Amino acid sequence: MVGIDIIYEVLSPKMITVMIITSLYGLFIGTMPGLTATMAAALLVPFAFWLDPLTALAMIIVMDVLAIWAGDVPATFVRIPGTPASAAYTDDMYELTKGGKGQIALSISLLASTFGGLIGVLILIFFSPQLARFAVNFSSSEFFWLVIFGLVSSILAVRGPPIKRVVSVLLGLLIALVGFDPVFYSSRLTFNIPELEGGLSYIPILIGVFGMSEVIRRVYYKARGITITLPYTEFKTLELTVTGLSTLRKYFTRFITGSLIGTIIGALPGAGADIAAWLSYNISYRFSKNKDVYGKGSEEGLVAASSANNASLAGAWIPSLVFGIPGDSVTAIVLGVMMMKGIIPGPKIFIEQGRLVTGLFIVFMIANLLIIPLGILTIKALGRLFLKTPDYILVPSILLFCIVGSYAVDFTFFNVVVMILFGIIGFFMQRYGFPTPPMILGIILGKILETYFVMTYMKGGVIAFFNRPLSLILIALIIFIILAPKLSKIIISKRYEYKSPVTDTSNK
Amino acid sequence: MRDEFKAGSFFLSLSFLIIFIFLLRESLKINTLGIEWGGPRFFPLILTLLLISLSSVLVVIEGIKFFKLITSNRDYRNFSIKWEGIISVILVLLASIIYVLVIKVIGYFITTFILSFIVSLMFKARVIDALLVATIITLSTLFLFKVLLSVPLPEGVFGW
Repeated sequence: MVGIDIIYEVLSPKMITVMIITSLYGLFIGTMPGLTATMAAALLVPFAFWLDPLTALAMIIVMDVLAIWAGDVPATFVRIPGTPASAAYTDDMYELTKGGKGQIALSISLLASTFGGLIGVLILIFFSPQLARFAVNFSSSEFFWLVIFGLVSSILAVRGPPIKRVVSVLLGLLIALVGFDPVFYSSRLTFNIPELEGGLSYIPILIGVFGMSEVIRRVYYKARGITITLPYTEFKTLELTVTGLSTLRKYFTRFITGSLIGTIIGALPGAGADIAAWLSYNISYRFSKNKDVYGKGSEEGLVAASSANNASLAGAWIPSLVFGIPGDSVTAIVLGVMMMKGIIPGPKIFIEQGRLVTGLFIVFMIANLLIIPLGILTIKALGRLFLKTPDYILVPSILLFCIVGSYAVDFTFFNVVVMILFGIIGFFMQRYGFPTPPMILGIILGKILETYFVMTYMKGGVIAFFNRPLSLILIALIIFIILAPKLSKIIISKRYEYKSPVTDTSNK
Repeated sequence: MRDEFKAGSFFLSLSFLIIFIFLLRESLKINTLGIEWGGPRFFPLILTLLLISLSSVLVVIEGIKFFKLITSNRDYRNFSIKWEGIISVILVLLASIIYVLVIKVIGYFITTFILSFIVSLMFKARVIDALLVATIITLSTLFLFKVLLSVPLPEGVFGW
């Protein structure tokens, strides 16, 4: 029996030891701003030389799953997303912390991530070939419209004057264009600064906009005699779990749609957990009845986004296994490891390497389940540490993590300067009503948008953007998401008009 | 905060407008490689033009608000800049920039210690506490990044 056999292998002491060590490594990487799951996966490659294929791949899966969840920890306590995948809901997490619910926020994200991840794995197990076929049907034109969809929904998903929201997203797109252009390799907006030729890395920008701006804010208010304190509330493990579960039940629709969006986005080559979280958060906002709470501690948005980012991890394996096309940057490294071990990905992998594939599915399940015990321990330990630490220890620590986290991206201090600059920009933007999330998404998607625009245009001019059914569906979806609230208002008012004469008669 | 600097939004919009005009100038310098539509200059040009238009509208809107505020409300607190806060922010930013400039020469240990010490003092820590905090932060980050993660931190002339 291959099934039972492989379960024994996955649960062998050697595998369990490797999985526990790499899960702790993933937790550590996720909680450190500036260190990404991709970098952590790359650092694991040398170990893969010495391990059998299943253990080598299990190591990367477990690390990735834990790191993506752990990115929520610094987002919650110090407003710095540990990985880009947590950026979409960092403000919500931090606002919940300000209201004394930081640990609750993390327990919600923990359970949404676990179950979202498990849904992603189930889809990976049962619908890999179908989803992979759907994903490879995406041409440059569909990707272009998908990016537009993401950008439009990011504008719609924040509060503030519409004009400031549009300025924010366009500013992000412009920042993304700095450096060589992705198609013609022509130098742009570099002001003859050699460090700008390669473009701006978005990790120092994320750290600056969220972390450094928080340092500036605290320093500014402290000097004026105002201390920003984050309340600490002690929660029991059971209380955290029950609250997390009941929130998940309350926003069950958001959780399911978040997990599905995450898996589908993950399955698209090149789109990873960060884009999945943004998209799911924005769509959730658009259809929410409690729009006012978004960005101010929305549990609904948190459920939608955190289920999506972990679900996308399994989704990214779909094109990788079926076609050998990486779904995200971590699976690109995974493919390298597979090749190194003589495993050729492709449709035949399910037959020729059936045992390995089954083992990977089980590892994915275990990795997602490992989030619960390790996550609860992290929440309790780090919650106490962060929330009870006085400002004179916390602020210099945040500042140093901002500096070293930016420096660690490519070991240059130029990134530290970028981080400081964006800290200042972020501080002023937040202070004067310019929402920063659209700018961040613009920076992440800017180069992708331009690449797909040029590719589509080169293929067939303007008409190439509109001549495929999938493109038209996406355009319809963009129009729908813009008009959705207005349409629902019209429908409700029509219903009211229809019912009102009856009500009037009865009153009489 | 009730006594915020109310003209900030106007001045930020104005600063954006000036920066975008400057970026438009830079965009016009980009080599088109003979391709106007979809070429290297296309996106920067479109974006800067859009941003200039939008920030011009913002300057007008915020300018009108600012003008109305001046004429209707003469409470000086609405327009006074909170210097005590700004000076502290400038101090931290300046310390961070000096840190970046000197770290390669002096090395990670001493610069990080000094920066942590200064910021800690700004948050009203006692000198002894600030010294302790700076030592712990410096040593723990040194261990974390240099030893555990093999991040090549600058060593400077002292070798640490």
